[in-house]
Amino acid sequence: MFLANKFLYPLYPILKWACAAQVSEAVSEMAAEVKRVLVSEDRVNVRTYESIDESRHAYSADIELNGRKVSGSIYLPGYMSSEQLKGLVARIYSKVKALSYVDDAGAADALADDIARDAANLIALARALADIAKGRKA
Amino acid sequence: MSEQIRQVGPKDYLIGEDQIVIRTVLHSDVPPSEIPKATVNFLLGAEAYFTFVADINGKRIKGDKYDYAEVFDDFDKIVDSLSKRAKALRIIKSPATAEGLANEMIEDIISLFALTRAMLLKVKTRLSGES
Repeated sequence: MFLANKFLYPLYPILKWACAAQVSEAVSEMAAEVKRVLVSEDRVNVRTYESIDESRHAYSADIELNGRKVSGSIYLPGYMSSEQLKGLVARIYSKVKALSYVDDAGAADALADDIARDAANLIALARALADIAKGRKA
Repeated sequence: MSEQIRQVGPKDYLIGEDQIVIRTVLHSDVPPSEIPKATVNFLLGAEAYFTFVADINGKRIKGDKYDYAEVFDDFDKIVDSLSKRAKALRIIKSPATAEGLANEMIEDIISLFALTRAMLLKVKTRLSGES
């Protein structure tokens, strides 16, 4: 044992280097095995409008999701817009929760598309909120 | 797209036009052909995570790594971040900050899209494992 230690100890840095090289080679081989699969490709176009007339100030949107027109809600200015956003975020959250328990593939597809439509509406709401903020006086 | 755009009235002003493409990708050391057959527990022991690449109005962004097993927890974080940014947007008075914050919200919304697709794949994987 003593002799083995005596001979091996000077070789320790070389052995350590050799082991590390082997490990890193194994890791890069493993990394090469990780495959990439395209799960989905979503295309979203959102045009947000501000509408002003004598009686009201509101926002609306034209939304297209994967080539299909989606109904864009009317957003009221100020406090109401952020309330709408809060409501929409809560709705998305409850749908996501429901999605995790769904037991039918068709229903899961429909629910995921429903969430995507809500998320597209959120884009318009974010633009509306930013527009309101820009008009706010410092 | 132009065919489906409604007629804009004289008092309608375009304040934002967002064109977004989101590609959600699963990275896994399980061969793609076996993913639908794999159960969640099987994938838990394997290297499996989601990422996304998005083009927002011509600008490319790359999303974080979302662990396969923790997709739902990541939803929590995104929803929380979105709510905080919306709250901040309600009181902000600087136009530049408002624009920056809205862009950050849109990046969060894109993460929601990617996580929804990731969740859908997980659900379908679970269902095919049960059948």
